[in-house]
Amino acid sequence: MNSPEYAPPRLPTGISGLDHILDGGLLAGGVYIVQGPPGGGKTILANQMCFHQANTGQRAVYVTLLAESHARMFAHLRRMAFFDETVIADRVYYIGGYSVLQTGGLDALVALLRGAMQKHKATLLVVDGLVSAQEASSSDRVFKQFIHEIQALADFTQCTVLLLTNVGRASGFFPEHTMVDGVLHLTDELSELRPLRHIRVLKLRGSAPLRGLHSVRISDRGLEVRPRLEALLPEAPVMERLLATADKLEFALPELTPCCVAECVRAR
Amino acid sequence: MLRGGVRQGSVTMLLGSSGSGKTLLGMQFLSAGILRGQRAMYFGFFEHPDAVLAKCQRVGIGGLKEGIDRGLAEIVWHRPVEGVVDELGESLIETVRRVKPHRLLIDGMEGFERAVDFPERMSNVYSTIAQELERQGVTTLYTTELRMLFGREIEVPINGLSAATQNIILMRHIEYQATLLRVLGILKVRDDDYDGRMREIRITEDGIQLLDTFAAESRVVSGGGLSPDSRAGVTE
Repeated sequence: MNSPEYAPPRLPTGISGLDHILDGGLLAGGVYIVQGPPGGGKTILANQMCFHQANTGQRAVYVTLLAESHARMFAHLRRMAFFDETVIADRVYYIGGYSVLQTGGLDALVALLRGAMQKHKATLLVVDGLVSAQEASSSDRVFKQFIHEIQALADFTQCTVLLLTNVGRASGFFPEHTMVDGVLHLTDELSELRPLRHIRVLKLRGSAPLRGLHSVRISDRGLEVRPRLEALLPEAPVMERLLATADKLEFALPELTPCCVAECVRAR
Repeated sequence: MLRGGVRQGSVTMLLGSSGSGKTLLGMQFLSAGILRGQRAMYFGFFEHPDAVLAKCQRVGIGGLKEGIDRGLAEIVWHRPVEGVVDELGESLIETVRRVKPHRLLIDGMEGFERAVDFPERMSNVYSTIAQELERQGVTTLYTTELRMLFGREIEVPINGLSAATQNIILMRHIEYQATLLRVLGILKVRDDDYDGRMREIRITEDGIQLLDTFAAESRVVSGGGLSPDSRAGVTE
């Protein structure tokens, strides 16, 4: 395990630009927070990852802690190219966790998550609406205990967990951030009337992510991530190549590039 | 004027005012390559490529359509409002890697600036693009618009790119005996000899012609009024 060749198994997100930024994907069995404002693309990102799991023959569980029904989410997702109704309830499972949380509290929620992960042998679990679990916690300590239990579950089952939350500030202290394996931050802002979406990796354990803001586009093709251009290429020293001896390319304009070649004159 | 042309692998800026013939000169460069069997690539933002091709046809810059049909030439066009600079840059770099052109024309370098999210990035974006073009050994011409139509100051508008630009060709209009003429001059050729005289450039049905109009004139580059003495004999 300690050999230098050992690399922890990864779970590609299936979003090529994002996998590039994430240095290959998320860690299998890791817990990640995906945060951002409403409309920032968290739900699309998470669903797209679920369907990618289904496409690669694996299973995903999507648990909503919000009062909103799944039907509304589907109505929104249906126009996305990745959305495939035929794998729902076969490889992608949607579970409403709102009432369980309201009636049974965090313990009942953890039991629900554990049951769903094990029953479906999921490789990806999404918990949408982490803020509901936070509100259901009597103290920070209780909330941290909840995160800790999810971590133990993820580690044990080697299922990667995404926790989606609206609390979308890039700075400030969030105790849960210190506990998880990574934090992805989605933004949606205006620049002179033009909408700009970005993604930023605030934290990524065991990996060397491409840092900084990377642009995000949301369309019928789903969520696409374009790594920042200048971060893509190796920072090779700009070497002045020896151009002085290179061949010359002419314009076939005799006055501009006096022609020595007969074919050049003919070309005119 | 360029003593044989631009060096292979170099980057040349065609700096000129609107309508000065930058695009056509760039297309002439591509056409000259295609006629010699070299691969060419056009990457543009503003003018629709069909319009550019039609214009080339009108002024006798040939070989472009045939080049496209024969797979020697590739045209990539993005509306400047579309997408972000990273998409445009990726598109440019990916096409260059695929096509491996000998000659590349980037028509309207400002297109990248229009699409940038944070203006302070531009200089890094340009040097990234320039490095990749250098790595691919592409000989590149890019056009960029001179903001002032007339005037004594010439501002090189693109930061971060001039360091990676070996040659600068200036194209602009000047007022000459109550007539607007197009002129062309070489502003810079790194490590090479060149002819610094400005020449009148004429775009006719028979292609681009460069004339020795100003043999006896001074102050042509700034575009200001010229001494009304005499217009030098047009020689070719």
